[in-house]
Amino acid sequence: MHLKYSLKDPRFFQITFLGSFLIFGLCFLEWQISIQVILVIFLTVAATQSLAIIKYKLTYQSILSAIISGLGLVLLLRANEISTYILAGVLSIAPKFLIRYKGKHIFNPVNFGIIIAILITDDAWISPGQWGSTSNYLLGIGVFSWLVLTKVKQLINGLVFLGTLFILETCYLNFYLEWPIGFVFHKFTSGSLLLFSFFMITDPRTTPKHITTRAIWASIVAIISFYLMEFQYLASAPFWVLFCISPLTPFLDSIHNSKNFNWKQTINN
Amino acid sequence: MKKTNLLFGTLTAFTISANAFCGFYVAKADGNLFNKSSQVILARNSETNRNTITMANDYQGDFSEFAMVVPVPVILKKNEIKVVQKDLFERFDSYSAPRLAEYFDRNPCYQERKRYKNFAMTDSNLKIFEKVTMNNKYEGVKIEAKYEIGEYDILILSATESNGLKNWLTNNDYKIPSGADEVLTPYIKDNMKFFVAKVNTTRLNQRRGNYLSPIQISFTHKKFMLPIRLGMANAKGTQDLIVYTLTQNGRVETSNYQTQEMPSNQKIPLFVEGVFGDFYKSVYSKKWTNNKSSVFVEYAWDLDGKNFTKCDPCNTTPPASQELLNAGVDWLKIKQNKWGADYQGDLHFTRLHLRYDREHFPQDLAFTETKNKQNFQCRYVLTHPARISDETCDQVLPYYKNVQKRRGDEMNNLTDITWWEADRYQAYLKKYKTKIASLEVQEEENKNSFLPVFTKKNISPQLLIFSAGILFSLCSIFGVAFIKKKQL
Repeated sequence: MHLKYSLKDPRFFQITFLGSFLIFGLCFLEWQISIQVILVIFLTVAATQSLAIIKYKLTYQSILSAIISGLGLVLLLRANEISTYILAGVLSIAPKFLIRYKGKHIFNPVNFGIIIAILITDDAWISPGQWGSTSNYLLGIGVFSWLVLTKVKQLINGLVFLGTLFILETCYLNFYLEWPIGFVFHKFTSGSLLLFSFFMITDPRTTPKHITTRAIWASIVAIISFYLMEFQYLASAPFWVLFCISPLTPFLDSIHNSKNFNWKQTINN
Repeated sequence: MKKTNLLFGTLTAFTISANAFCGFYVAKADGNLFNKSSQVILARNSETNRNTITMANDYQGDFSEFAMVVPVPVILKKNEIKVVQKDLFERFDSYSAPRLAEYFDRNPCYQERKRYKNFAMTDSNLKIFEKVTMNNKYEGVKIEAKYEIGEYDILILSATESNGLKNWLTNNDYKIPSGADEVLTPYIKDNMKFFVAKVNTTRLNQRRGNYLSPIQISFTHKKFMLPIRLGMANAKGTQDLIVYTLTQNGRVETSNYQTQEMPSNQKIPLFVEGVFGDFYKSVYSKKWTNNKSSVFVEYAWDLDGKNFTKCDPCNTTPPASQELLNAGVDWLKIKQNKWGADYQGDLHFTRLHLRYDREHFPQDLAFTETKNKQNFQCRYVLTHPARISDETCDQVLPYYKNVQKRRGDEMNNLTDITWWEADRYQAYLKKYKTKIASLEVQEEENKNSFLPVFTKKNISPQLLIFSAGILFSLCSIFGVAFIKKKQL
């Protein structure tokens, strides 16, 4: 009974997918991530989450979310010092319990960890170019399976975000500037962008509750990201936009309310 | 009609320059390495967004035929355009070139003996284009500025329509490729200006030296990129580009293509020494074949004024403050310090090498400056075995076996990172195989010969104990026999 319950949890799929992507990156994309870094990140997120489990008397299954955060950090964050990874690990978990509004955490855990680490350490960065063109196929398969397998309606966020961004980029680059369409497609081969679309902006715990507000919210992220990428030349713009716009979520929720998301709901459905 | 160098077309001169690290100067050789290659130095002050781009100019045709067109984001002022000494590229190239380090085994039977040498493979460039039909209309083209800098006559053009610009360029003797308007339009609509330069032969003749100076442009803009699409407009095949970046915070990567490190720190066979240029060419070709949309890091080093080790091993002396200043590094304080540098401040040097074509590089190169301060160099290692004249020493056979194993590893590395086939170099492995076989035969013979212990310089403890045991037993037998005889 317990096992059946656990396997239905979409987080298992996320872990399998992100984990296989990490192995792919290490084996085929020559990512320079040492085993120590991976261990340190996982130990940090697991330890921080365990503390929270004890303090807030949570279920042991919440450790799954911490593992996803750990994988997200390993995939996206780069730093010179181990201490930066530890800091990012703690920052990815702690705010879930410390920065809350009406029972909902405000910031996406991995996004918060990465942005704050970049802001305060002068040692961390994101490598938007670390994904080879081959990684798209794997990401594509993963995202497709994710769509088919899960019933998390939050995927609407990712689709709206990518769709809006694609329309804007095509209008600007292809129709206005007259670059060939291959130029536009190349923009969307970035693994960071796809990971962001399907595993960060889709986080059901930190996005607006109502489906309409979520769609509006995702398109706002896309419009601002488009502006920053094309006119301010900030390659990792979506991560910054998500961070800055997250505090708006409670405001959007107050306009259009719906029930708080719970991973258990998706399983019961 | 002028031949136009649209960033970045090209041809190559390849030199092997050499200097020692902890050792001595070895060799220098010339040859062609990467055909069609260009070099660019890109200095970027991330606080002020000041970019300085220096473009090498190894054009080898008739200088009066030379012309270049580079899209730039702003109208450049006169003091933002310079010509610089061409040895700047030679210095940066030899400082950061892939290098061969050479080590010598110590003789296992004697005292330690160590020497090092290394030499670097350097590379440079150049290039050209063809023809287009003449037309008299050039609507929307405006000459924003006109300068005479060094041996060049320079214009800054703005345009509102690609046909007008194309016609203007062709009517003014700038020979641009037929497919160029496909890329001119996006640049025009993106409000880019066009930096166009021709050689003024009168001024060139007044100057000493029969070469064209590198052109340097500086501008303040958030864009951290290099326009490569214009050069690809009508180019067939691939072109190589080497970019040296000088930044404050850390290693530079391309944000729209994958940036990978070249294979490095591999032990390779000794016969590579004479053909290092060909070897590296093959290494690059193999790496590129498997990753055609990637940009490769050949060198990355933290050149912070306080970092004492500015290269290891050094092909040549690290860049000095004046050279850095000439390349556009405007944030350093010029001051001798106790770490051996004549400047103070943050500085990171990255050398990126890419081979591009239309298919695999659909966008211009966009760069991002990371905080990655990890040093990296393309370094390959030769290990010379010791010369042993007296093979009677016990350590020789195990040493030869080690060398044989190492040579096997070296051959495996060679076939892993290059296209070279191991079958062609079997003699390299055979040499020590033969030596080992003859020593083993000798040892076998020694074992079988009468009283083998005396042929060896060292007698093993077991043999001593065994001999002592026999001696003791014989003494005991004789002793007992003697006592018995006495009792009788």
